[in-house]
Amino acid sequence: MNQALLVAKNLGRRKLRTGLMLLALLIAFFLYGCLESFDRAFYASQNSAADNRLVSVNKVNFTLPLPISYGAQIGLVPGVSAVSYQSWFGGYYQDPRQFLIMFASDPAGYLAVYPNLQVTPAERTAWLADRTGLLVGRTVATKYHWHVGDHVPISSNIYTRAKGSHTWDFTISGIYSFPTDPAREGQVIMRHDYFDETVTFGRDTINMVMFTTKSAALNEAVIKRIDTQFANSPYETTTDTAAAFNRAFASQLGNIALIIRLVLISAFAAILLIVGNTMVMAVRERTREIGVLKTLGFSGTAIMMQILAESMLLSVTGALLGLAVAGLLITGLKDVIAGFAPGMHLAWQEVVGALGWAVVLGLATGGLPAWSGLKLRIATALGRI
Amino acid sequence: MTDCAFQLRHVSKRFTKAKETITIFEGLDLDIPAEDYVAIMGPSGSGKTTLLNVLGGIDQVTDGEVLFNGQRVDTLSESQLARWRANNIGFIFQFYNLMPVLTAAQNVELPLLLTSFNTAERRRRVEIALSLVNLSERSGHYPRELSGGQQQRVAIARAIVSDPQVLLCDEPTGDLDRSSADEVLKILKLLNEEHGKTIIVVTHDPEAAAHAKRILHLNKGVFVDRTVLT
Ligand SMILES: Nc1ncnc2c1ncn2[C@@H]1O[C@H](COP(=O)(O)OP(=O)(O)OP(=O)(O)O)[C@@H](O)[C@H]1O
Ligand SMILES: [Mg+2]
Repeated sequence: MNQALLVAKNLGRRKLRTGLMLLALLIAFFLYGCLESFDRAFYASQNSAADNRLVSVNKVNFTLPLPISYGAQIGLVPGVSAVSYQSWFGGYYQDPRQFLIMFASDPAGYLAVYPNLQVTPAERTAWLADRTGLLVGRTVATKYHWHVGDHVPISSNIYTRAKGSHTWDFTISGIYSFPTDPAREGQVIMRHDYFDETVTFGRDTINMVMFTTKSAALNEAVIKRIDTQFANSPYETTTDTAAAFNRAFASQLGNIALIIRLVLISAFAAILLIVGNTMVMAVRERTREIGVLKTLGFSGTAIMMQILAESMLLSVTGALLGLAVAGLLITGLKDVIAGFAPGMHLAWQEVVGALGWAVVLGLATGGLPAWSGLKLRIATALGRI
Repeated sequence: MTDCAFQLRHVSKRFTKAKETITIFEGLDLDIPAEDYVAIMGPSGSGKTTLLNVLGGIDQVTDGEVLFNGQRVDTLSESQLARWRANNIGFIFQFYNLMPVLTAAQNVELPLLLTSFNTAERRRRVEIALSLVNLSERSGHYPRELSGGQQQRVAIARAIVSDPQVLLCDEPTGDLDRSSADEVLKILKLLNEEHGKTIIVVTHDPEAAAHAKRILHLNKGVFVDRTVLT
């Protein structure tokens, strides 16, 4: 036997009470695991943009169009190394609920602006050669069981075709991965020339010009040059780094980070009160036993450490259980999650963070009873029956 | 005079609650030689438990000196007292005070966690202590599975497992029937006679007191009578 066994046995003496405390902790750390990994996936995709990648959008609002010619004009600006552009297609597969994050873009420019997009040379060649070709992110391909060479019909909830149809036929040219920004694996890219040729309106317009500069040091000058060039035209531009654009876009969705923190703080505050109060009661009913241990020669410090170890064991176990459930859920719902937070998974950041909080929670919930255990006078403790 | 286990010199003990001060003893003197077996009797509230607590260093004296083997112990700090108790004193209570979550053997082993003995040595000592109280076959039982007399014998094994010089017993048979009580008293006598333990036992039971070498009668904070039995 050792003191660790004594700690574990004390925790096990009231199975129901300990079980309920574990459940409370499990819920808090389950929330922590889910929300933090969501947060990390969300912000990783925002900050993954290379620092020499920039975007130009309509100054009034990024959903308004720009002329397609802006792509070529921006390509001529000194310092710009590669240019592409895109239109939001509003695509869905079979059912409007199966919406796709789908853009129409120029293939050669797109592949140049996103050098980290990984396709085989054969797939690349196929896309460059086939106007109806489609480049599909790995996550999307997995979700719909698409393979290279498949013919897939995709509809748009914005555009119509000349004959009144809403459905376009595509051939999958390639399935790409995007290791530096897994969120992009949730996208689908069609060719803009196919788009232009078939839509009944919106022809020759784009939503965004994406381009890279030869060096991030040139960004400022290039931004100024472009926005000045299109000033006072019917389509004024606003140009910024892709990272800054992503952040601005995210902040329009609401301050997710703040909401997450508020949810977590409330959960942890509730747990602190519940578990803290229960620990106080659990130790109080052992007052006499603590008096006996002290009589046998256990020091106040030893008693204090036993109680802290007990609350720590409880909170760390709760944390690990909560993370395990969060991990199972995130893995199990991967396909669903890919739609709004691609690349979300439980990683060491969440484990380390959760264990850190578990230690803090263990100290906070065990602190008061540990202190009273340290200070408890033997004669007083033994006097109570 | 260092063959005295305990010496009390002009010991006073007062409790102050709110504005009232209760005096339990005033200028009490007492010598308890090594290997003595003393029974302390007296009416309820006369301060018997308080006296044991003072001797065991779990309650502070208000005035006076407490010496153990000639050394002051009333001046020790709380953690020094804890170590001193672990090395020298075994306690036996009226209500056994075993840990309900631990088996008999684990309860007995508890004081050894404060020593540097390895697992094998600890197990050996636990076995010896349990066999001394005739409970070897019950080592894996939990307190709730034992009778009162058996629980008290486990408590005695726990008190002697680290081989202390002194046993302080507060009404050790107060909660037991006659035959269980006699068994406990037999073990205490054996520990005194064969193992040289100094035993101080507080009791209301004249038969229990009769096992001792002498009886001290405490009343209103003074020893009113001393009976020498052997
Ligand atoms: N912490 C305390 N505060 C105030 N008074 C106390 C305290 N502890 C004990 N007393 C008082 O001291 C007196 C002696 O108590 P003690 O427990 O030593 O008596 P006792 O002789 O052991 O009695 P019993 O035979 O009933 O066990 C009692 O009047 C008791 O009320
Ligand atoms: Mg008493």
